[in-house]
Amino acid sequence: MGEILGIGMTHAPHLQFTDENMVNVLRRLLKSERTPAEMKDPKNWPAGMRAEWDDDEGLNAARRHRAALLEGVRAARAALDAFRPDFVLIWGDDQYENFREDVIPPFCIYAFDEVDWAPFKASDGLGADNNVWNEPTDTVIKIRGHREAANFLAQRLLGSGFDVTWSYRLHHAQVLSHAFARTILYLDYDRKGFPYPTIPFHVNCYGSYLRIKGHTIEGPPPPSPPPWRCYDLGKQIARIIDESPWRAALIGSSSWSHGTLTAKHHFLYPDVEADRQRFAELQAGQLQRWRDLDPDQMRASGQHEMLNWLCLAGAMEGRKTSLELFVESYIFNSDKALVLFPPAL
Amino acid sequence: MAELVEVMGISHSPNFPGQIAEPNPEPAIVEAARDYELMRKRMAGLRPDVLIVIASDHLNQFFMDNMPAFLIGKAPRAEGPFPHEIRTFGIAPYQAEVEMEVAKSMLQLAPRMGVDFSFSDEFRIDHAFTVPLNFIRPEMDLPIVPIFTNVMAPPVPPARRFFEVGKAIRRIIAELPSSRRVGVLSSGHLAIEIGGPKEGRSSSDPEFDRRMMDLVGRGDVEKVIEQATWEKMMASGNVTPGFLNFVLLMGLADGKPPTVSGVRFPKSKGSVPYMAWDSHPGVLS
Repeated sequence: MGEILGIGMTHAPHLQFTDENMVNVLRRLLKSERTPAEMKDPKNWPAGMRAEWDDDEGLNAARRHRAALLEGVRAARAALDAFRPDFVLIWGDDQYENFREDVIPPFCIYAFDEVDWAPFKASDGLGADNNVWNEPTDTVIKIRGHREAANFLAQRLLGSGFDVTWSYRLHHAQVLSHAFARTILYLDYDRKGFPYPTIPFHVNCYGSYLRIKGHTIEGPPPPSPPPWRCYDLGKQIARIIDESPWRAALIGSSSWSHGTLTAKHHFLYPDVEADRQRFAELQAGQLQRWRDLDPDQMRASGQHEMLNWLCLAGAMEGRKTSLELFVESYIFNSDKALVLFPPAL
Repeated sequence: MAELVEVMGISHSPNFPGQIAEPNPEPAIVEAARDYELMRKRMAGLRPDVLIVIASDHLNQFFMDNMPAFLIGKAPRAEGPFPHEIRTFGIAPYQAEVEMEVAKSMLQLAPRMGVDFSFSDEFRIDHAFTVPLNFIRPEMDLPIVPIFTNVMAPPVPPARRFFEVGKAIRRIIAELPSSRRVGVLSSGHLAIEIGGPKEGRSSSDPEFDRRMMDLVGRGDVEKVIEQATWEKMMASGNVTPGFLNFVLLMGLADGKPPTVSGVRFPKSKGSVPYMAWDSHPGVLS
């Protein structure tokens, strides 16, 4: 009989940055020609955004943001260490890193023995060449997978109506994609090492909004899997693990609304109201309502990547939380949540 | 709303075209060639505007670093087979336009039907596509939508999932935002062994072939699914799971018995099956 620890967290780049650099994504947007001139003036921003920006370009807000996030991240790591899982499964997205024109799957489970991981590599264009640990950005180390459990999951998912692709090694990418890399990095924020075999699980969160570099393909790509499908997939994975011999930590990894994905806010700041609503539903134990979320509304709110959390929500159906943190922000591109679902008694 | 006018399944044996072309082909090959000519006329008689072609990649381009269970190709053109297949088997090339709007619409509709299709904008079609297409539409004048299935690299979806996906494709076709006449052509095979001790026979398991074609002919979906487990198919021959594409066709035909079906047993290189479900009776009468 398996056991499951559930974790919802973020893989936003901001914890990687120094406090001075944490607002660089917004700084870059304020210089962009695509940002309307009036939106470059803080007078036209929401009050909450002006308050965070303040007179120090968000430096104090960055310190508060980090402190709030670290409370959740450290709690998640403590829960992991107490639980001592056989493996950690992470639902995360791929942004034209490992999956490109030849095959883009809706879901892919990675059955690695081990994989290269570049923990301190900064994503392109985020405006930060260094990191808060002051580590070399080209550091590459190995991280263990759990091929046996991943194969078992792939087989059982395919046998129960979920048409996942599976992968024994990276396809295009040279190192683990950002969503998985940063999740592990933040769970090892205090640099103790990360001893847990990891099963990355790709969810095509971007769908028609995936940026294909070079624009070689006519028209937008096909859509993402809908929220209900992600929810049901997560629920099925929990069932499979329940019937397995393994102790598993299941992690839904993403920030919630992204400013850079929210057209109605000129791609400057996230849909904080929509995220507050999602968090209220989570606090009320109404995660099942997420299954019926309208995908178009989610995208209008910049919540594309919450499909990773939808998988977690399905897996955690009926489970109670032991920690619920909502870290909202207008100037750090996204709202973030950190939630723990302890193993069922 | 599109109209499904024909569902057809034949072999994709890359040996079969060469067997037909021999100076004095054996009677079973002559009969099988005649069957396939009738299949060609059958499809032509139903005047499809587009062919959805369901077949499998033979580890030519999809590998264990990203193995899709079901994938729709949506590049503007489909061409094949791979050069090594032409060299090895002497089979003819094939090229066709891809009906992009249908492919994209299918990918839009599929999530609602509960099918998780991968998609590709860069692919070739191997002999599993080109051999049947050269038999059924040698004119190369119809656009196609290629659907790739994984029957080669375990874990593969079970037979029941192939049947369900066939049913889902049927519903997707019914909801396509066009008035096109859609023909479906799928290729697979019965018992066959490549590189193993049973290779080279008429069939690696003639009893399996007769039993399965009898069940397909009667539309006995449950028995077919029961018999088409990975283990049973592999016991009949090490690449027999290509049969799963015929199970998918049974779903596309809504579990009904085919209008016509049969199988020929040449002396070597595999049996040659055919099956077709006509939406309109008497196409060839």
